[in-house]
Amino acid sequence: MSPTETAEQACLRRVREAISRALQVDLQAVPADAAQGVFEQWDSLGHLSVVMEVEAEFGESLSVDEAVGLRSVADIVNLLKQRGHAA
Amino acid sequence: MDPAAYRILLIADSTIDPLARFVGRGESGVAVSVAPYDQVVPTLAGDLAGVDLAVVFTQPDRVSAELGRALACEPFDRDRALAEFAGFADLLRQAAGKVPMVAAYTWTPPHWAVSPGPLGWGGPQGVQRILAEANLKLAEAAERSRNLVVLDSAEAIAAAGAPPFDPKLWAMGKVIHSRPMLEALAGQIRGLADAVRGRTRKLILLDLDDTLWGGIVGEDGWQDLRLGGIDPIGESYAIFQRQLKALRNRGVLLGIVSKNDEATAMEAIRRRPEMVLGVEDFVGWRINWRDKAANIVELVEELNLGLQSVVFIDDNPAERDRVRQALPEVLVPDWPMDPAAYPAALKALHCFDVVRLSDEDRGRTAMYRQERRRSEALATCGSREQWLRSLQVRVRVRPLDEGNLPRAAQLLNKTNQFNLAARRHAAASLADWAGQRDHAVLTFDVADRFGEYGLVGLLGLCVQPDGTLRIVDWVVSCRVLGRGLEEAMLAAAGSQARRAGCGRIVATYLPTAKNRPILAFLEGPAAARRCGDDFQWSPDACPPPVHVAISDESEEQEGRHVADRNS
Repeated sequence: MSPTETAEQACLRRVREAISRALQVDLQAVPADAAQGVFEQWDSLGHLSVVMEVEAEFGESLSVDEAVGLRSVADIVNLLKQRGHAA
Repeated sequence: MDPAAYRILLIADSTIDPLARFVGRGESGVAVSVAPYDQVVPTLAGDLAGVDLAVVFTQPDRVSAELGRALACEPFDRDRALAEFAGFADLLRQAAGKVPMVAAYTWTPPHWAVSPGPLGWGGPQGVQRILAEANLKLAEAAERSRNLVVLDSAEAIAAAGAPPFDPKLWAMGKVIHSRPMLEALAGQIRGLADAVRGRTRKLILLDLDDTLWGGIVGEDGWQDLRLGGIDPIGESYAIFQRQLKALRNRGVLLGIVSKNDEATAMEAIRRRPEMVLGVEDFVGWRINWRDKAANIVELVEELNLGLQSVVFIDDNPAERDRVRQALPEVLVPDWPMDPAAYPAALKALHCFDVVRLSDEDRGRTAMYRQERRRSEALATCGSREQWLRSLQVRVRVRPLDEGNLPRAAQLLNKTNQFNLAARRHAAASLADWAGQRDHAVLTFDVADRFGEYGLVGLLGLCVQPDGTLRIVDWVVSCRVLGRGLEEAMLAAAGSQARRAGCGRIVATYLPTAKNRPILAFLEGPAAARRCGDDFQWSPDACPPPVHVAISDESEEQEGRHVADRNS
């Protein structure tokens, strides 16, 4: 985290990094508004890897309900915020 | 996709796609693909063309419906269940006839099964016991096939260090394995792929202070180092040393690269009673205050190894970073701070995995130590000729057979420097090649007055219709170079050529990044004539070197040598 980066920006960056690892794409290819279905590699199979990497990155364990409900970078960031990761 | 890539195909009756990126990570020259979901039998029965390694994951209740009933606590027939597993093991064995290597994972109870408790092993109906017998069928199939191996799910489960199954991923997309489990599986598969491709690491170079023992020997003194005893820290180092000793017994070489005073450090190794590793367990060391990267280069050269064979283990991140920067070929694993975590870190490397073990592997440290004595003899001998005569080199020439095949294939695949064409062959395909009409593979065992080197030379020969004996493979382990084996092999090719009625011998040098040493030999006094990368000899102009005693058993065995063409 750079000194100028807010906690929320850091959280967003780490989410994008996790997605880029999960889908094996460049970080630049994962915009902040990336979403399942809209973004090519993020299909239902890719989503399993996204869930796995987000859990590992933040040390979280998501319920089935939560994991299925995540559709976009914004959804993931919001969920993590609720769990205190962007504070 | 890189056409030269090593192609790994993952075959499963569950969703195995997420494993692909873990297997491919950090591995150059590997292409991982995934067979269609739940098409295990059709995939294995299909042609599998272009696949180098097929890795098979199956759920026991999908292989055996009868076991599925057992797991559901319904009435079932155990004999039928075992017959179903045996049938699947047989299918794997057939698939192994089409692919250079097939790896099958052992069966474990599925994650959804209720715990059988003590019933699992209680009597012949126990499901754990039936699964153990099923896995035994797998092992027996692997024993009968040269290119079917079994990978252990239980080892991966232990290595994962976290729940191996992820019920959520299963519910969402039929993925069985959790992320830590995928990492553990990937480690095993990469280890196998490296072993098959001859990339097994051969030498571990170890730091001493806080790596092999706790504390700084130069400050604390050997008496106060933390090692063994009733001290939990000391006990952790002792366990780590036991692991290293086991690897050494399996053929991995150990060496020391440490910033210390040599006499002080050696005294600790000799006198500290809890040392599991003794001086004789190390093939060499550089204990001084110089740069570690420079020390590694020097030591590795002395041992006639390549840097790509080396693993460097050091607790100090700065030293690791220095070696990583200077010597990118050396594997420098991240190392945990806590000595209790050392054994798991060593286990997770998988870079010492081998498919089979030869007698040479088990005796390797002894051979390297003999080598040190040989070099010392060279230093005390006057001329090189005198020294060669004093060595009393004996060479035994044998055709390829079942007994020496694993070692011959290992030599062919692992040797980079004195290797004419760097052709790589799995054991089965080497045997096939040797069995073809007009082909022969000769193996060379070498011994001298200091001891046995084992099987260290290989010639692949082929009689061409134009009366040329072509040397297709010419491989010599670098630890016997310059002792007359090269000339003895040429002489053996000469007698094969005479027997087959060939008028000339030809070897074509195929340059690789590392095989200049064989070119140096070919360009030396031994070569009769050179035409481009072709080197030619007359069969009568290949005399065996005078200081070498050769016993040629290649003529005694029927059906192998190239002279059969005329019989």
